[in-house]
Amino acid sequence: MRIHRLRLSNVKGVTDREVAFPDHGVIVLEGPNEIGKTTMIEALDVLLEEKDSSRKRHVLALRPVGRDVPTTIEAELSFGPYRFRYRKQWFRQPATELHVTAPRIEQLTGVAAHERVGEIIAQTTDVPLWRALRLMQAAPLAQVELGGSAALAAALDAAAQAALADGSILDLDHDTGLDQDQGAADASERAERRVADRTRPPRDLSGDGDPGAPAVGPESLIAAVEAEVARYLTAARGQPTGEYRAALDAVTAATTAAAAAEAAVAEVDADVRAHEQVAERARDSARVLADAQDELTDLEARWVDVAALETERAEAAGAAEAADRDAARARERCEERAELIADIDTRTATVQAHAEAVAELAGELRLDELRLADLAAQRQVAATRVELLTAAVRQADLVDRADRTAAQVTAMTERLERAARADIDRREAAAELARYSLDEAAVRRVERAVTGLDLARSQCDADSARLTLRALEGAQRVTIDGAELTLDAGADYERSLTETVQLVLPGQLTLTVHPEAGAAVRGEAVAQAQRELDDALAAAGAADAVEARALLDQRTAAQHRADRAADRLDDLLAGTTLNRLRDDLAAAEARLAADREALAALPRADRATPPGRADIGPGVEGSEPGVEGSEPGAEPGIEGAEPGAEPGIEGAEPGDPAAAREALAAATDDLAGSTARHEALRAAVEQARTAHARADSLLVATRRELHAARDRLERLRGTDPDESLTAAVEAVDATRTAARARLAAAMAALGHVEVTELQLRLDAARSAVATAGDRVADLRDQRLAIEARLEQSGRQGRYEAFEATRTDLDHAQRRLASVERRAEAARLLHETLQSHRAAAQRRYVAPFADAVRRLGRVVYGPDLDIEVDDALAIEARILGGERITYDALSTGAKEQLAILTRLAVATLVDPDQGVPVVIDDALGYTDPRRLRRMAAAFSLVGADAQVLLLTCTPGRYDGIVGAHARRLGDEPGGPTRVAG
Amino acid sequence: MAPSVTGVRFLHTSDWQLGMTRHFLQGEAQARYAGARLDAVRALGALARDRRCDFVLVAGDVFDSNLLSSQTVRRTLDVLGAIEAPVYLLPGNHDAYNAATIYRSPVFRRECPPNVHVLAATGGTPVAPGVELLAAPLLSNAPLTDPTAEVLADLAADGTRRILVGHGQIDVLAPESPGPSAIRLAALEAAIEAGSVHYVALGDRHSRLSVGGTGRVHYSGSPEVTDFRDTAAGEVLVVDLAADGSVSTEAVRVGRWRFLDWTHDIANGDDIATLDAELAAVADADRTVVRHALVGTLSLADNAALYDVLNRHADRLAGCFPWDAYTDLVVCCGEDDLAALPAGGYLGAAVAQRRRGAAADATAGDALALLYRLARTEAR
Repeated sequence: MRIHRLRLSNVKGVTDREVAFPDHGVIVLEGPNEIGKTTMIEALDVLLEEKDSSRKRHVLALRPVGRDVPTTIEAELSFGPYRFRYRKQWFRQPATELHVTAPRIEQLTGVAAHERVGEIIAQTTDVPLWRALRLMQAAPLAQVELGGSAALAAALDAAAQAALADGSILDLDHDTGLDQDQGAADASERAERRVADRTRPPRDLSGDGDPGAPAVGPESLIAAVEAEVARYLTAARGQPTGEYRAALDAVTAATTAAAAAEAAVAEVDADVRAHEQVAERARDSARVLADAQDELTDLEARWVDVAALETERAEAAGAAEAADRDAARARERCEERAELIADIDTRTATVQAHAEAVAELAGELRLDELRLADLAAQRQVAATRVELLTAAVRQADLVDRADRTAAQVTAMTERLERAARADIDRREAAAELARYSLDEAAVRRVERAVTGLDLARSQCDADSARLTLRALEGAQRVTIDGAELTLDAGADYERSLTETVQLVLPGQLTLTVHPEAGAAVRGEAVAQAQRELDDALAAAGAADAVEARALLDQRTAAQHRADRAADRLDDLLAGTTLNRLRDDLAAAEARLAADREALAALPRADRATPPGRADIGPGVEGSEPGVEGSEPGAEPGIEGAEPGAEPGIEGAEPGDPAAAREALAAATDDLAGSTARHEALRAAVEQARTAHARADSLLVATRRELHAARDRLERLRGTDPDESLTAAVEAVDATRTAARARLAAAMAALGHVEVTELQLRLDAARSAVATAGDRVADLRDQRLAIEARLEQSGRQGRYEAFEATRTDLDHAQRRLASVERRAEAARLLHETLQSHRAAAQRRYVAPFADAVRRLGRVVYGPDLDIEVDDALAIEARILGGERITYDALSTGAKEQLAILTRLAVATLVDPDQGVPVVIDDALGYTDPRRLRRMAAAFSLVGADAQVLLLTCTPGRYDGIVGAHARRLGDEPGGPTRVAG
Repeated sequence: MAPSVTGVRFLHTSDWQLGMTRHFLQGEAQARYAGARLDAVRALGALARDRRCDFVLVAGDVFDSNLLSSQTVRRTLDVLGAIEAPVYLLPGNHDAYNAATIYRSPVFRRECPPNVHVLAATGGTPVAPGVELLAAPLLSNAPLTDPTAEVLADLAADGTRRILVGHGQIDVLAPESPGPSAIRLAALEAAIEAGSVHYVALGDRHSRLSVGGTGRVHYSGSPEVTDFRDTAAGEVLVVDLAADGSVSTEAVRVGRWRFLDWTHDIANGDDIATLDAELAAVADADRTVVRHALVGTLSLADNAALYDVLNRHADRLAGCFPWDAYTDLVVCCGEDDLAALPAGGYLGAAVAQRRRGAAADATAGDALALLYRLARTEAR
């Protein structure tokens, strides 16, 4: 796009202005504020975009205030191969005129002209780029929006692709970091060279240069693809939505419906099959029933015939049984009569036998009773004799004991006397002994004391001063301590000086000698010894030691005597005491007295006639024959015993207890034997009595029964004589024979017929008929039930309903398949485009950044670097090693980078597709030095592109080499007034 | 032998399959097709009248099922009642005379026109002096025996002209697996040879077919096409059974619908133009269903053109849809297509990637086609 000429008439404050632009290079439009610099750009936009009839706000804003004049904008422009003059008039006589001069001349007016221009722009111009490459006064300092520019994309793509192997198609699948880095480096180099050399970048790949080729913005295409995807899939999670969701739901619903409808049809089919089976089984069952009924009919007919025969047989059998019973009864009565007669005979014999037995028993009883009396008498005799002998034994015992007691008393008396004597001896010895107060110890003490005294004296003498007196002449008398002493001549008196000795020579002097100090002590020791001796002697009761010893000997002798007396006494007492011995003696004497008294009290006879043994024996023995002899006659035996008894008793001797005892034992045995015999016989008699009584009562009873039997026989014979009974038996036997014959005949008639088997078969046949009938009825019920169901279900058009659901399902599935395919295609396309776009944007970064860097180094120096993100926005500027993010840059720096970015794009884009760069009143924040450098950067761009710089500051862009300056407000017909 | 034997003329038809649904028919076509089936019956009724037929004989499968709506039954009965000749209906395997048979349904029993007779009983039915129908109805939709065997037993060549009516597959047509219920041709021909049977009217096949060498055993086929595989459907047989026992048949078309399978190789715009022309030339398009099996590789532009053509004719035809099993169309991006697609930049790379995939991957082809369409739309 190129602007060749722009004319404004009555646009805002501009009454009429025409500016001509060179095809290339920097054009500086200079003018004071509000002269209408920005208005010119706005006017160009309105001319291209708005119809002459438009009353949009920004169109109305162009109208001069308070003047009713037409607003006219006219421009001469180039778009690609097209060059035309284009004029529009608004508000009064709106008009549009188009004069295309190249490549072909076209003349259009009105809406046609407007639309034609729209077409030309769409075909040839990257509108997003045209919007992006202007930096307007009013707009915020935004980063340039380059994402939508096809021309830039193409340029960057070309730069990037040129870096790769020539002619190769970029293969995403084989992209590697190395390739990319290499490519970026190459691209950077090439881009630099291209810009530097002013060489044209390679043509668009699509490019045969066909002006009719659509220039589709990639972003709008991607948006269209996204919209297509959104028709089918949710943006968030890629889930089916809309048409796709509906198709899925429809298939689900149709599937369910088809399954239900199919089940409904299957239900009927199942019933139909069941009906066929039931019908088949019903036919079979009916056949079975008919067969069973036939057999039953046959069996029942046979059964009627057999039944008559069976009745006759049963009756004959009954008659035979009755005849048997009658015959048995008649025979029974006959037998009964015979038995009764026999019974009476038996009973008569029994009565006779019983009578005999009773008589016999009575005889025996009498004899036994006689013998019992005899035995009782014998027993009495024996008892009496035992009594006598017992008394005799007692007397003998008593005498014997008295004798022994008397002997005892004598012995005890003697012993007591000896003991008493021994006791007296002992006492005397003891008394003697008691007189001696000394003992062996006392004697030894005396003897020790004597020795001690001797020792003390010797000691004393030996140690003491000695006083020795010797009469020089004759017997000198001297009194020593009061004792006179006559000393014979030559005789010495010597004493030890143990105490003060007063020596008196009578009349001559008194010599008192005092022992030395120790003498007193020694004297005392002697005295002590002496005292000891004295005490010992006193204790011993002796005058001296010899006496003491003698006394001790005497005492020992006395001791011996005392001991002997005590020993004798002990022997005599033998463990008891004297007093107890006396008590025992007294007790023995008392017993003796008692025995003698008892003996005296015995009956006289007992004592006077002691029985001899010889006398007793014959008496007792003599009784035996008495008893034996009594057997023939009871009475004599008992009487004969009496004489023998008395002599036996009288013959007892009291003085011989042993003999007495022996006799008593014999008598006792005799009594026991008598008693036992008596008891035995008595028991026998009792039994005999009982037997007799029992036999007697039995006899009575049998007699009574005999009489009863005879009475009964008489009675029976009265009604039925014996002969009539016999005749009855014969008659009944005849009847019985006839009945048996009849039964035999009936059985023969029945012959071989198995009645029981027939009955079983009949029962089985009836059961079979019943069972078959039940089954037939059951199957009929089943069939009717199925038919009833089919009556309902079979008439509902289920098949058609099923077919309809299947059709629905089929259609739903086809729809789903179609939608699915489209959705999948859209998704795939979208994914592909996204991935390629991302890759492409990464690739575009390098050449773009190179272009910006190259221009930037002109302004900031060689150490400038910049960082560009995938969306081609500048992320950061690095200057002198200091990295500052774009947002953190100063307003001036941001503005400078914004301009440099646009200029860089202008250098990159194909000149044919390029658009003018418009910078409106910028660089106000830039210092003069950097302004000059910016001017240098502008100089670099101007060759290929149109760059429009609008400024109100004269001379701001003076540094740009080759810039075309246009001073606004200088032209004729300048501003007539200043808009408010 | 018989005192008076007359010649008869009758229509032999079968397999009306009333109540049938075709899944591939969409919307109104389905309803028109159902109507067309009844129209075929009307047409054969008119034919019977025009040819002065003595009766109409339907050899089974009058209905597609026993479980049909009363609407279908009533409409059928109306049409049958309008036929000016006796109509004999034989229960076939689809409308077997079983417990659920449609012929005993209340609607059918109450509203059956007097000229309509159901051959429900196995055996003879006199239709004219000395002429009787030997009916072998199916009592189950899966019979276990040759249904004609029973009626062929104990037949005497007594001069009576007998027309055997049966339904089922003839054993010689499926020699590999005849099945227990197959009709034994030998028995039929033996009876014909013996002179006890003079014509065998068969149903079950939807295409007309003369079986064996006697010229007296025929399948009439369905009077209206039911499937793409039906080779000779849409006809009825006009049968003349002369008094002397001779038989002549004539097939008369009554059906108006056609189900066509089309196989085409499509390689370029010329082929598409040819297809277009052929489709345009289809007569009675609204009664014609085309199932197409297209094979070939197409550029994006040709693909779009093909779909335009098919969509256009889908509106005209009763049905026009791909035969999925035999369709093999690959869309690839040709050099020409590239001109229409965004070529530069990453779009170009994306296109290239998908181009390579399109030959093997239908989705890739679809994606390219979509891009093609969107690009053109955007460009406009």
